[in-house]
Amino acid sequence: MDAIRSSGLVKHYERGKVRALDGLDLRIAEGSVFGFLGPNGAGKTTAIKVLTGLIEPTSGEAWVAGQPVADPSPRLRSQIGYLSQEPRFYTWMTGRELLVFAGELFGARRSPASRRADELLEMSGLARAAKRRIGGYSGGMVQRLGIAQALVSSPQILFLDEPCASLDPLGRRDVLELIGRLRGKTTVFMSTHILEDVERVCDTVGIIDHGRMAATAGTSELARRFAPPVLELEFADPGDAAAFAAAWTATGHRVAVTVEGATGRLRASDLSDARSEALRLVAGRNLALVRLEIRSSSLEDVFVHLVEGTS
Amino acid sequence: MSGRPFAVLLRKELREQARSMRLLALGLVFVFFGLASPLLAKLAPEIVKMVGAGQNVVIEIPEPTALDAVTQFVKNISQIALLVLVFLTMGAVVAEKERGTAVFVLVKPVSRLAFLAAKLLAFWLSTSAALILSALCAYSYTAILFTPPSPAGFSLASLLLLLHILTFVTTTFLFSTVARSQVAAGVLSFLIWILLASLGGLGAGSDFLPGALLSAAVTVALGGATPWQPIVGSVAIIVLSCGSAALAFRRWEP
Repeated sequence: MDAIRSSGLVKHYERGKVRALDGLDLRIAEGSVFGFLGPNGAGKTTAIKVLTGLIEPTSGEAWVAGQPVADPSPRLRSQIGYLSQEPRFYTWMTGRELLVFAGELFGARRSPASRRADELLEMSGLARAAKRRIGGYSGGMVQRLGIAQALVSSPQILFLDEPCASLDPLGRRDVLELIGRLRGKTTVFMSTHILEDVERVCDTVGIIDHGRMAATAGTSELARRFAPPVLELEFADPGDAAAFAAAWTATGHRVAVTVEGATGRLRASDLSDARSEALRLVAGRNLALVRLEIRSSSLEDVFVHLVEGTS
Repeated sequence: MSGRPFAVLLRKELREQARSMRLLALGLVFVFFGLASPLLAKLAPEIVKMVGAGQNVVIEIPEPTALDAVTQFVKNISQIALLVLVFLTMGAVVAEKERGTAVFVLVKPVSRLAFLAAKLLAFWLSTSAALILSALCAYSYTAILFTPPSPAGFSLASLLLLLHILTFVTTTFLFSTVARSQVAAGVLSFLIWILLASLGGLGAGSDFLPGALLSAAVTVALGGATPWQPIVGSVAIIVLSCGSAALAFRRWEP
């Protein structure tokens, strides 16, 4: 069953001059960790705000946990947790007070809300700062508190907008581990521009660009489908790499070559033919080849390929 | 609007007012004017005489009465204390929108109406508490310095004064909901205050304006009849402001 589904979701601002979402279609399976990738201004935050019921779509439909988001009811909100891109909380409250308050907003009585707050403070590494005012927290602590408050109701679906944005490497590791542990129990919808985080923790990836889904697939499948493997030839000298590129272009081969420093790259779905041709050229011109490798594309390659392809 | 989230939100609002010193500031200002008003009324002739003596002018001023104390109280609360109140209320909603804390609450199972209603009720409660305290001070001091007015009359006058300031607290709250900044909310609130005050000269229609509550308060304190027109007019402004705020906030997109 789909935990999140949208069909032709459109959101316009400034009387249609800005098209933040332009027919977004989504299907996210229950219990999966979905990485929502896209360049700045692609529509990631707008999509999350529509899906959490914070803003209304201009047109299109979406369902979260089986509930329509167009007319968000408390029932829909009781099933979701949300961490905004730049979380802001009441600075006069202590971390513990905020979590108890959040729990009570979900209908919990004070005592269970307090117990849950203590659990979450421990889990987020904020137990020692529990009685300090949030106004005195660092950016990373606020981010951890944000994740804790998003989990306060043990939600079915968790929306995280750039959850690792202001975390140090240790904090980032902890948060990604935590997200990984939620797999199977909670559907996680995580927007980010840190590709490494997506590769580490997500099992499905969607790439959004100009308000539309450019691609959706499993993390490994995405590379296979959208970015072909690369033949890398590293030379001892950048001059050799340039000479190789010139010779390759002169052959009129259909696979284009790119050069970066002392490395030449050929990208094609079937590289066996290109590899033989490349080796012949290297041997024929006596170029000093240091390394030859066929490398599968990374998520970054897919991202660049798709986003540059649509712009 | 479900009861439990509303109660949680209301408790949070009252706690915020206490922690941010809003309650203390409000209490101090209102108590000060409650105590100072009868005293100023009592000392006014002496002060005027002293000023006149310096200029070799003899000014005859009738002996002050409880009427002067009540007039002074109504004037101070409806002007200076209300000014402070507008300053303390103009950020009620817009500050949460600016800071981003509204989003934290609105994504929880809480209706936007409950969010607004809890805030407004908290402002009404703290304002009412401050005025009651102020009125108690004013009445006690008036009783010490003058022949006191009847407690019932003074209570009724205080209620009319409360309705007057709650009307402006509510219009300020409306502007805090629709404006994009605290400054804009404050400017709009003062403009509506000035506009309603300047309409006071308009024939029969002016009887319905909140300003008419002030003259009514003085009359009622000394046993006069309670006019219904400014009560109806003020309640209408409050209802209209609440409805407009709810509509505007429903459409707000963070």
